[in-house]
Amino acid sequence: MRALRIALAVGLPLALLIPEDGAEARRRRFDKRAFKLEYRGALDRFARGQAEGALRRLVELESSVAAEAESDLDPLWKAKLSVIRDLLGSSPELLVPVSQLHEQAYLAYLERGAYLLAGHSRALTMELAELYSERVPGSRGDRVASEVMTSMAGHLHAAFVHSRAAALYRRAVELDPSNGAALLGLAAVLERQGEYERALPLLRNMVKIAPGDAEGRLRLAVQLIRVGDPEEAERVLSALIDEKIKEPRWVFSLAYQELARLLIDREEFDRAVEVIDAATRALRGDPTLPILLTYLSDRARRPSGKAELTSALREAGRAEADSPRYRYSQMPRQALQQLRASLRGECAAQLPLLAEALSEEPALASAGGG
Amino acid sequence: MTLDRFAGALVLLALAVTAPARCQEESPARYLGVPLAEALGDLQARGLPVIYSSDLVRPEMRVRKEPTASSLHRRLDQLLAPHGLKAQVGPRGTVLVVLRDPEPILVAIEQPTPFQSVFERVEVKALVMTEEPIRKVDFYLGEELVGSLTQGPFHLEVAVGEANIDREFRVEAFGRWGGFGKAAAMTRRVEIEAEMEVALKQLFVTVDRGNRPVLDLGRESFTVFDGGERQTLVTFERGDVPITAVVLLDASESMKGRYLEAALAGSHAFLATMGRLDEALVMLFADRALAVTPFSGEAAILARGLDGVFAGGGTALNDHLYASLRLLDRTQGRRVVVLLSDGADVLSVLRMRDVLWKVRRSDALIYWIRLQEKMQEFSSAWRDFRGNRAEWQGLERAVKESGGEVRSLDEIGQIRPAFEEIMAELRGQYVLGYYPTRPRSDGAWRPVKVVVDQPGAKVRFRAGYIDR
Repeated sequence: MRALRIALAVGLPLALLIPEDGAEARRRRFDKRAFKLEYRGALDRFARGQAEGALRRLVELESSVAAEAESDLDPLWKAKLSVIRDLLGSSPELLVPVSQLHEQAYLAYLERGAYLLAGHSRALTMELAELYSERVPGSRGDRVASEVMTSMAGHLHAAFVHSRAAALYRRAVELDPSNGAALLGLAAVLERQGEYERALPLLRNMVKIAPGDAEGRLRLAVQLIRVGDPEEAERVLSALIDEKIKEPRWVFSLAYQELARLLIDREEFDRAVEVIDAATRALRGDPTLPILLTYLSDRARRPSGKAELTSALREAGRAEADSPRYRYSQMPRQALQQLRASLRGECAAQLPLLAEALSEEPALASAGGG
Repeated sequence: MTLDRFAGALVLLALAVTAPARCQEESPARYLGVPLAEALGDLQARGLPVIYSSDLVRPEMRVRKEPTASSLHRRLDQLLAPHGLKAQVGPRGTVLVVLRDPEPILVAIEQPTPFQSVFERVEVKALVMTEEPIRKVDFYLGEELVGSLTQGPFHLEVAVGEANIDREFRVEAFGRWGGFGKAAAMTRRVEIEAEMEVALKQLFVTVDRGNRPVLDLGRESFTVFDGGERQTLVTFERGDVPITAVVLLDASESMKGRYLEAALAGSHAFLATMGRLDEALVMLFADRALAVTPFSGEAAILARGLDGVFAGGGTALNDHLYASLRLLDRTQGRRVVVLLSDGADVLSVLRMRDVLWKVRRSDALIYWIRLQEKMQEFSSAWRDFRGNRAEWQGLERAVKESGGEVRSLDEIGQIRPAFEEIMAELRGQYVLGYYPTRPRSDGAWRPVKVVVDQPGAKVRFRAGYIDR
């Protein structure tokens, strides 16, 4: 009680002396002109190939604006969009590198635990993608915007933020129905939510667009089993197994495993042993296959050694890579990596355009506008 | 926490596995094959204050294995270990490179197995686990040195003769830095009564009243029914039948940190109370086996086999439970699996019904120490809500049918007592033996029932077996 009295006596007068710190005061303190100049500086560094320095400058600049709610970041949003719209007169293509810088800022904020700014950067990246699809005519506009959306969806997917990832993947597919990474990503999210019937048509599309994509074919076969079409699943899996080059290995391991599972369900243990025996020879060092082979040998009343099982289990402990079944439960990485590589190429190609636009812009006069 | 903050926290977790979409990328340092001193110099340049003497880190020493750890300290450990060196905290935050102390070498004889009968020639397979380079491994038959190997695999063919006698095999391993380890295995003469033993059914029965074990019952207190028919007990023991256990520890991502530490401490407590003839194998698993020790009666050796294992990955519980039961096939004594997990299966290729098939053909008891009271409903990449629930319930059923028990814990402080209680329960079990009056060998399920004449007593036993 005594402590409370002291706190009241000392704290209240002190509180009256503390300067006003509400949203209104922060808005008043935000110097739009200086911010826009600094922002242009960050973009300029990025345009000149100094990706790390540009990111550092942008993060420092945005972090210096005190924010406790999303609305506190409205002035930043407006200022940045104003700079970007001024630059757009030169070419909408420069939106690609700008969106990439903001995607990087999103990751940097997450790393620092600055979630408000991370959400802000994610929203701005999406806004720039939409702007790009509006401004760039024809399929290119939609394709690149769809790629930017997919890349961002991939970050959310990797972090198990499934509903948001699904929303971005969906928009990416709307923009470009032939975006394989988005189709695969959305299907993977739906299958994780137990929505097998909804995942199936996406995977059928994916396989039609990219018949050589092994992961797409595997996921299609798994969905076919789940919706009760084992015959078609067996055809897809057998065709996959017959491929000469068995890469990526985890996909092929699972193709063998899922085919064996179909045979287990039909109690065809001898055939299942043959399938997994062939898999073990084709994919040495796989951690799941020896256990499955031992089980199948047990069921088929064939001899299988305990020493071999022990040694395979120990071998699994030394393996560096994730197990195939774990790998499947993660988001589809390969298609996303290819998409991001393509985006990096687009980004690098448009950097000179951004540099040129920034050099043409009158430095101080227009920096205050918008 | 707002949705954004929550989403952000999760995304942060995933950053390590997400390739950044930068216009530029950098590659990590590679050390394999470069002089060790040079690699240490690189760590110094990266900010790790390493101090070493050129007597210990000699110019001819080269990095033998690429370090995989991300932290500089762990990378230093990985660089030094193959050379018999280790890092030690020095003055003012420095890190000193010093000689490692000789450590016991883990040795196990994988073949011949204990109680196996051997004649003529037998291949003795020794498993030697250590980071220390091996100087030699000696093989003994009784007191006679029968061979010596200087490099693995440590497999030696030994002529043992045709006599039907008990034999002792011994293996002794010597490391280059002074480490030493040994193991022995006894093989048995063929017993003439062996054919009769095959038909003997053994039931392991736990009796308690009000959660307190009832330990003073005599043979006359028990009545056994096999396939509905009353049986005559021919053997009756309590507690003193040797145990062969698999301690199966979930080391998936969710067990990271203090959960895995508590699980290991609990398993150590279990192993430390093993009897003279008891043996155990410890397996840490996630979506794959992370560490597997050999079967051994030495708690210290088993503990050492688990050094340096880090939790990570998903949970393939069914696959590793099946593997545990399979490893217990044809082992001696009471077979037990003690499984500790904080959740259910997520990633196995085997379903619980496949494991149940094995449970019904194995004599092993399964104890499941689970770190949650009720199942959390979840959907995963491999199964929907319904599928995951079925797997959880299937595991509960398998445990019950085996004659074991599910022990649900509220907090990690209860892990060690749970392990200790299981060992105490095993020590207090009654072992009832009988020859089934009507063996059919028809592959059908034979239900078993045990009744005790103690009012209020609860009896736990295997629900039945497949008559093969």
